[in-house]
Amino acid sequence: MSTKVLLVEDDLWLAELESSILEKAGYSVNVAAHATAAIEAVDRIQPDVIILDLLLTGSTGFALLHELQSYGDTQVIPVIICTNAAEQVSLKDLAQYGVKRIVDKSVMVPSDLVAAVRSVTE
Amino acid sequence: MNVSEGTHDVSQFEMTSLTAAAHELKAPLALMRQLALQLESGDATEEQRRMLQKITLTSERALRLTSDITRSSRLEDALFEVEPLNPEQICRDIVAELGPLFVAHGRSLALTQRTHPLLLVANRELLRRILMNFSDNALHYSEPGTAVALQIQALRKSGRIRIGVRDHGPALSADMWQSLQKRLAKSPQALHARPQSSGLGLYIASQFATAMNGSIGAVRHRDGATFYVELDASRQLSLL
Repeated sequence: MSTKVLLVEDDLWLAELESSILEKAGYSVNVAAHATAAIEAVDRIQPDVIILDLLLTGSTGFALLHELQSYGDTQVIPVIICTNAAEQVSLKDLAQYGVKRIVDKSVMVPSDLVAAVRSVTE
Repeated sequence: MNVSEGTHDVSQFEMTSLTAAAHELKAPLALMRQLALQLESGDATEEQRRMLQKITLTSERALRLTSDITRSSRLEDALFEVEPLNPEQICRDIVAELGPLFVAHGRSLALTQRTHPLLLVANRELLRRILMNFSDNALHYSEPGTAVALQIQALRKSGRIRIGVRDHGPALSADMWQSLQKRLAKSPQALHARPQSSGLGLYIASQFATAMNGSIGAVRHRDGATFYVELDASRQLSLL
């Protein structure tokens, strides 16, 4: 059974692109466009890893991180932050929220996302 | 914000608005870059591949500017650690990073080699961004087929080290040169350095240099210009 990835990204075109890259790499991908949809998707699909944009429409990625940490079953899901604000956050600060990797959207190449998922799931 | 006239101080309000705009621009620019990278990795003809590479490189150039703007807005809130650095290594990294962009524009970028190593006191990221900005500026204003050179020089009298980016292009007019000199002496301001330039990049470079106790300046040549940053030399080598 393939690894289940929940991609939380409010930019539809970017979500499509990233989904396609991850699916080609063999992952099963679900997309949530905002934090509320992400919580619903976590309950429904029980992802192995969450890729999270921080600057979402509505509640931010930080709010979702807090929410995920407040339940025993969701706090163990590894989170990869994929953001354009990478230089303003640090892995050291976010590790307590289950964040395992930070990927800078503005400099990443497509294979970086696959490598990040692989590094936290294998 | 009217940076094109280069006559007004950049107010806090203007900088805040500019930073917000830079944040907003980052997402679409990053998406354009990602889409171009994805297309580039597929079945494209050689000509299409070259065009896609230009889209990628241009997006990266714009992303660098947005990052510089957001970083600049945080200068007052953050402490930037300075350390003894070898500027040659930073220059080599810049040549490696921007080399493909220069080649795509029919120009080249190289570091003028030195025989003796020098150390200066700087924040690595801020210095890198200043030199990236000067190199980007040189790319824009140098003639096709010419070479842009990164040059490192010890200024013994002042105890400083100067890193310059020398381009070969149309000489700056005397009027523009005088105006630039005045503004460089009174930074921080928007520095209208060249025709069709907003001067924003130089303004940010000036802020970064000031944050490291340094300064920026320019030398006019008959066939182009050298934009430089001067920083304190590290005494570490002389103690050895």
